[in-house]
Amino acid sequence: MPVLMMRDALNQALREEMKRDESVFLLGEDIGLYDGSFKVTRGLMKEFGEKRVLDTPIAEEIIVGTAIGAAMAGLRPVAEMMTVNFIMVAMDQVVNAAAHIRYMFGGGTNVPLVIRTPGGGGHQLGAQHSHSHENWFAHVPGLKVVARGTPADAKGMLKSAIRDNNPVMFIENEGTYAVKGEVPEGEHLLPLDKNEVKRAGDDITICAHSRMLVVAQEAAAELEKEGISAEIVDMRALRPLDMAPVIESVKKTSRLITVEEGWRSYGVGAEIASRVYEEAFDYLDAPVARIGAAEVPAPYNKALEKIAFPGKADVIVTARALLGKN
Amino acid sequence: MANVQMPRLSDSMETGKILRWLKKEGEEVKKGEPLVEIESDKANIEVEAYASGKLSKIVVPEGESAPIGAVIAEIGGPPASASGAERATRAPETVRGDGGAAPRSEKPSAPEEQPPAAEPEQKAKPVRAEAPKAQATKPEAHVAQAEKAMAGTAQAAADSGGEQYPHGGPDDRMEAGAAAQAALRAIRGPNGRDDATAGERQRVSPVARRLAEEHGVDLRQVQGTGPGGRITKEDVEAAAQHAQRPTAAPTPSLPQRERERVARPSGEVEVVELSKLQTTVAMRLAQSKFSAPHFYVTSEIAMDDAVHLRQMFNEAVDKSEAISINDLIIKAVALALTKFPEVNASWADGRIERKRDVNIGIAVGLPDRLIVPVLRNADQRPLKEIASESKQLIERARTNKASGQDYLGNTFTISNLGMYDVEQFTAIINPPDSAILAVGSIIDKPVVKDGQVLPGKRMRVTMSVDHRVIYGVTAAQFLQDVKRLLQSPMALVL
Repeated sequence: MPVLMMRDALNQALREEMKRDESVFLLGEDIGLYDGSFKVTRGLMKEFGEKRVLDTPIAEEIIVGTAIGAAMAGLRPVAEMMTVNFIMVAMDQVVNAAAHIRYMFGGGTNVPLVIRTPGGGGHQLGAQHSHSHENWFAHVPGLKVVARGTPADAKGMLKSAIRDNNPVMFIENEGTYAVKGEVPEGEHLLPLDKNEVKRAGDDITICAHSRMLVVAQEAAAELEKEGISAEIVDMRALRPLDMAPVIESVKKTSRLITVEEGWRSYGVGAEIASRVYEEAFDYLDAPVARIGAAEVPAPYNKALEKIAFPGKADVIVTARALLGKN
Repeated sequence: MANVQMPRLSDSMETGKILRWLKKEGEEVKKGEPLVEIESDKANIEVEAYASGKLSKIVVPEGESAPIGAVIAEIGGPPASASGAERATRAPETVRGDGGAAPRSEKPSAPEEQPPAAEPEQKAKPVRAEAPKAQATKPEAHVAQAEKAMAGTAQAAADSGGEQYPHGGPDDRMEAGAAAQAALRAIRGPNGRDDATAGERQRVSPVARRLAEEHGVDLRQVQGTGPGGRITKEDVEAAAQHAQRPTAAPTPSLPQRERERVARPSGEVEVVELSKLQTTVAMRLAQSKFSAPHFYVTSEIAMDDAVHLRQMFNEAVDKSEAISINDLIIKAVALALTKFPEVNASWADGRIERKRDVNIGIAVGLPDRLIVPVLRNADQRPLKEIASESKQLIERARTNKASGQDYLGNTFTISNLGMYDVEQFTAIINPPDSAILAVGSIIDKPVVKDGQVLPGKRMRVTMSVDHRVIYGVTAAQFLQDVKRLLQSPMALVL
């Protein structure tokens, strides 16, 4: 199986879907001539032309609004928001329009829309460029929200998202575009509502998605050396939230750490913890430990930024504490 | 001297192309002056010099590309006799495009001869390396750590241009940062691990509670080893395993392993299994002694009149209706209790329950067990009835014919070892009572009366009191009343 970088796996998914279905088109800032801020759309304008790869003005609300209209009219737009931080001005379109239209029209019209957008910090880009907001969207009925952590999942889930008849928030992460992994060629489709155990273990369960999946993996390798066996559940499907593998895992390990790059309060971990308390309370051996970004706007200062976002040390120390090994 | 490195000019940049050197080799450069024009994946940008001096060497010529962090030029002369450590302190002078790209220079400088751990695509080989490179971690090491399911994911660190590690280098942080603090507080409690204070509700994890129920493990007998002293799944499993051993007692509440530990050193210890009743007694007494704060009040009572009264009483009635000194004590205590409702009370989970009925428990010692039949409404019964019922109760207890009713409802207990030549002793409160009266023998001794030494019959009683329910003065006053009734015993027969 070929090994691809995340950005190339996404590119492959877009190219294959555009070839397969003429109604698929892309729109966003700098995605055409410039090949995209993170080079995900590299070469696509050259290959498919300016009609199917639209360079737009810096106007997120108009990008999403245009995409919704096109989707209602029968096309399958894939809109790119340069980062998830910039989508705030388009929230009315995302929530009040995209998420609710099908319901409000009694199923009379679908909105087969994909919004691709990366979150994540760590590049000294300051508070207006560094946050993760997947929980904002995962809160809203009518949206599907996925956040993949491996190139193979990126391809398989993006292809499925494009074929889905509902608006899908396809959350990426700036710190993962260079992550490499084996990617199946051709028709590789993954469900949008299935989470998955990415690493088997016995002592502790770690829930993580997107870049935190990589962090969890690094932490698990270190913990292994200390004799702590961690099971990692990839929470790539955030809405609908597939809890089955988490519950099954917690019933085995009795201890859970959730890791997310966004703020902890009202976060993905909070939702996971609540579900676990509801469905597996009698299997817990310790309170669920939630790791998330410090409750501050992302610092610009390099040293502060480094301790504000979760890293493997946070996971390792928390795991030891949960097991009473410190 | 200072190295000029390829700066990171955009978030997604991996390599940069030198478009134009704005200074020639050998030319003087001032800090802040435009030095080189570089093309990133986003824009063409003029980069300033971060150090002053002579542009001694251009490493990457115009038209060529270099990865982020690679040395593209050198400013200043060759290093003086600076040691490695001194050079390390000068590392900040290294030219940087922005802070995000520069490798962290926490380690001392690499020796001059050692080339930097080059980026895979690096074309221009720098002659010297002053600052260590962030890519010191070999890709192979990461691959070895990675699980099959994520094969290759971590490898990206090596050739990603640093994107895998958003903070500009591998995550070598060893201490938990702000991200984990709230989770750690939740696990350890606000004051770290020692916040399980005495008297706090026993901490048991949900799974431990469930397993304890499934295995019939008594959690009160389990020592918690988790954070904050919480009883964990492992603690219960260990306790259950001990309980399942073939030689284990029928009930897991008595610590089998404790007995084994004691028995092992000598090898001559006879292990005595307890009956269910004995187990219950042991548990209740331990619970009482360790949860109720006991204090003790002793009084010596002149029993001359009581002994005389008993003699006269027994001479006047049939032998089957004879009374004992204990019956007199029961009656005296019962009458005193009606005046001291605060003594006829129980500690009930943070509150005090005062009992309307006065029911006296009578501790009966038998060779293999201790039982406490209860004489109900002792305050309302004539002495004769107290005598006959206590006789029946004790007889039923001795012959194992007592009903469950016989043991219910005690509000105060009397333990009398007078017949065993005991001067005085202290007893453990019999739950749910708040006090117990330990009665010693009646002893003939010289007593001083009106300045004269005379023979007297004296009995010492000691009341054990639960201080949560009864305070010292109340206990003393109650005991005074008991003493008054026994020293002027006519009230007992009225």
